[in-house]
Amino acid sequence: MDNERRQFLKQACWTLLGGGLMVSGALSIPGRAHASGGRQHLYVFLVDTNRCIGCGKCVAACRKENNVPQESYRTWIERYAIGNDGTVHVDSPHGGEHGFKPLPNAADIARSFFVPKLCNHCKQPNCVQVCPVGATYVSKEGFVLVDERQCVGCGYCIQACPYGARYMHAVRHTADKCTWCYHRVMKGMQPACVLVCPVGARMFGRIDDQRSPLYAVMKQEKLQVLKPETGNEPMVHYRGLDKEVR
Amino acid sequence: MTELMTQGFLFPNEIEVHWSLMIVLYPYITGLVAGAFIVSSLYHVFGRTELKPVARFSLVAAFSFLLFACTPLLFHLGHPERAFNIMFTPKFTSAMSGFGYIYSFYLLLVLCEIWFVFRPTIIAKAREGHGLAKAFYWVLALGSMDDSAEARALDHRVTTVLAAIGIPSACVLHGYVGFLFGSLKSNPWWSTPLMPVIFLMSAIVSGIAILIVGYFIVMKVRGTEPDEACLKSLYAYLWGFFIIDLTLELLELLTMVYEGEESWSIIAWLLSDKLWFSYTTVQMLICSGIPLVLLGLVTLKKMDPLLRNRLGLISSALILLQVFAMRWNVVIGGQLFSKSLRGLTSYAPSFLGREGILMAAILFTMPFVVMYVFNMILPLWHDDQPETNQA
Amino acid sequence: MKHAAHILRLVVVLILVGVIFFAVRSIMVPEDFGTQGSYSYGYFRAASEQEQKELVPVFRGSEKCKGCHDAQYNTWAQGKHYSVACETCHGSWHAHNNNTKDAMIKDNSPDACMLCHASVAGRPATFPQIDSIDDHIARKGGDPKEGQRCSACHNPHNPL
Ligand code: HEC
Ligand code: HEC
Ligand code: HEC
Ligand code: HEC
Repeated sequence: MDNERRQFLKQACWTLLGGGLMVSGALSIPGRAHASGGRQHLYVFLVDTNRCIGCGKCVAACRKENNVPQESYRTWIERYAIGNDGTVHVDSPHGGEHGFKPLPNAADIARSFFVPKLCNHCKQPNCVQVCPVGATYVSKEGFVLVDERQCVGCGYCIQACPYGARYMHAVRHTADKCTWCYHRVMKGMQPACVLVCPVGARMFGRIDDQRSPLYAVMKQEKLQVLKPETGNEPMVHYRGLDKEVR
Repeated sequence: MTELMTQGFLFPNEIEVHWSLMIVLYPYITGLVAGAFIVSSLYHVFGRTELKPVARFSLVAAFSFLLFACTPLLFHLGHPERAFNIMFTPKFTSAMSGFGYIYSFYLLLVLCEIWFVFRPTIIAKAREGHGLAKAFYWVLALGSMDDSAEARALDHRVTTVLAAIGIPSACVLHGYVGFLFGSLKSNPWWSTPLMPVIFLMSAIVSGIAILIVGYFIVMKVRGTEPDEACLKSLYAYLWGFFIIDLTLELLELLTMVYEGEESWSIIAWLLSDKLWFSYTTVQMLICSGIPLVLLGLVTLKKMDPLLRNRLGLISSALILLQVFAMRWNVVIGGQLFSKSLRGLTSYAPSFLGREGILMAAILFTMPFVVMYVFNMILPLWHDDQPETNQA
Repeated sequence: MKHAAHILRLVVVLILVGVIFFAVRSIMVPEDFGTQGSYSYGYFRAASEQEQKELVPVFRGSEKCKGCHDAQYNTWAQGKHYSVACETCHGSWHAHNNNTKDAMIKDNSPDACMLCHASVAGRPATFPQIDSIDDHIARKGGDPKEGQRCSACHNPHNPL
């Protein structure tokens, strides 16, 4: 009697478990067909910190091109001023959108420079890793994108991005960030920030495109990325990056 | 205005804190669930019979808190109407994606356990009731009126199995919340493998503490004497788990200080500035030091029950605060400094609004309302019901 | 076994809950979800990629202006501002879409030039900068009092 009941219970448990697993297995693991997905990371964004003049045209153009809400930034410019005594002053008023004011104690500054920032479109993006609903992903071409119709707005990706590149869209209430102007690039145009940059501090293109100005720089210059220790493998490369930049 | 709120340099998207009071409340409530469930399991699985007076109470408390554990998240989501995406299209590379399934599994488990524990009561109610009430209890019993000794023996065994499954599940439910923070490499204040363990320990601690406080309140309202043996045991467990919890919290801090990595300078600034009150003062000094000493006295020294209960109650209340402060310091604290490690921002919850203090207070009161209603449907206290139950 | 009937009922209820859930799920999840290969990075609604591709570009590049503003274009193409796109100074083409001439920004105030040319900490030393408008104009033989229009001496499309 006792044994029988135990047997029954056991069977009931296994049936339940097995059934559940089978159904969920059948429904939730699609896409087995082409496992590699043919994803490529050929596009590279190159920032030349030696050239940037901090005019903020890129920030303004980005806002217009992508309809970015006020107080949120898909790209921004930071200014570093390192004093003779080693102190570091960093500022980015309104993300540099309206340019920068002169600094008061200019004589004490040993070196100063601008650093444009934007989404790094990492090869191993941990924002994509942490999205619980598959709302952010890597496109075939290697762009990290957000599906605004799928995003639940939990903000986990915003916490996960080591670069502060993501924000909560004030109107859509979903996570949002730089797309490297995916819609432009796919039409053969340059990203808006690259287009309006007056000094060529921003370059964009495919590594295998020999006509691109990027090609020569990639071949000749020593390049850096931000926070390589994260293992995210950023695809925005920096020329002349200072050790103080994080 | 934003300039006034910030010190040093922050990335421009970081000035606003995204995870608000609601995200503080969420791990706090799940912690209470896990803790209360562990207490009920101490009785059901580990045979700590002295805990029988709070066994049902703790189970129902776990259930009530569990019902509302996800509401703060819903209030926080940008698109609460898409909340089920987490179960429809879960992406299991994300620590968060487990939430939907773990939560649902656990809710069903607790529901089933409650059903088995309360089955004799339900059946008795169905028998003595009339009309609509009778129908209601009949449906609750799933139409099965078998409360024979054999059936109850079977129920008892199922309950034990469920409670046994429930312990690891409770640990997963809360450990996962810790992992959610601990696994973010972008944030030095969160990223530590100790995080899940700390969350788990503080969960157990807070669960025991709320049971003690709740038990006192209920006994006061009902005008009955609390069970001394039960309370003494609870104090001892509370003390033990709190020692582990605190040790781990201090260990985490010590490691950060000692390793002195690049990020330590900003964390030191954070702890001595924005978190000076909530971390250093509340979490680490007042609400840890006092309960640690008092509970030690309560557990180790012979004393008058009245004094013991006073000290125990004070300690429990302080520990509830400690754990809340801990949640606050983790969730809010982790967002107050820039990932550039160069500046701090501020956060103060609004009073009104979707993610405000009032809403948090309402959400936190709801589990108690549920418990009250539950008690009206199925009495929680053993002396209220026909003494039939052996589970 | 006789006394396990209620357990069986519970199990049936649980299975029912599960079946309902998975039925709803199969309706709610779009067909193309997760069809893009790798689970780590390719688990998403495939149509989203296409939707984003279809967004309309706002900035169009200087070549766009050529046909209608040949004069400005040609001056610009030979001058020192050649690296500065038309839309950097005039704002996006988008506003200009129906040839409504008001829509484009046309700012010839000194501030517009100083945004780039003021000497500000951080600018590379090689970039042409001026410390003070008054000094600059006075030094170049102009009268600082007179309105201080940079365009009095510099053509914005070909400043030197
Ligand atoms: C389809 C032809 C066309 C194209 C292409 C075009 N424009 Fe125009 N633009 C016009 C016309 C027509 C006017 C009005 C001229 C007038 O009334 O004198 C105008 C006027 C202007 C004005 C002067 C507005 C004013 O207040 O005097 C500016 C500046 C201008 N365009 C900039 C641009 C730029 C920059 C581009 C390239 C992105 C561009 N336009 C492309 C047709 C064009
Ligand atoms: C450095 C900034 C700058 C750039 C780059 C620039 N413009 Fe202008 N443009 C101006 C300013 C300033 C005026 C107003 C001149 C005035 O009012 O005297 C102007 C005026 C104009 C006008 C109005 C007619 C006129 O001459 O007053 C047109 C049309 C125009 N620009 C077209 C263009 C086109 C096409 C390009 C790209 C080939 C271009 N601009 C690039 C600054 C610029
Ligand atoms: C968006 C930034 C920008 C704006 C706005 C701008 N310029 Fe320029 N200007 C440049 C760049 C870039 C150069 C090329 C610098 C170089 O060759 O290194 C330049 C070059 C010049 C030069 C030649 C300097 C030299 O020695 O080669 C003059 C003069 C000049 N600009 C004047 C003006 C005037 C006047 C205005 C306002 C109508 C103006 N600029 C607005 C970016 C700008
Ligand atoms: C009185 C005429 C005059 C006015 C007004 C004037 N400039 Fe100049 N500017 C010149 C001359 C002349 C040069 C020298 C060109 C050369 O060296 O070949 C010059 C050179 C420059 C240069 C190149 C850097 C340098 O110092 O040689 C810049 C940048 C510049 N001007 C910007 C401006 C701006 C911005 C304004 C408006 C605030 C302005 N200028 C107003 C006459 C003027």
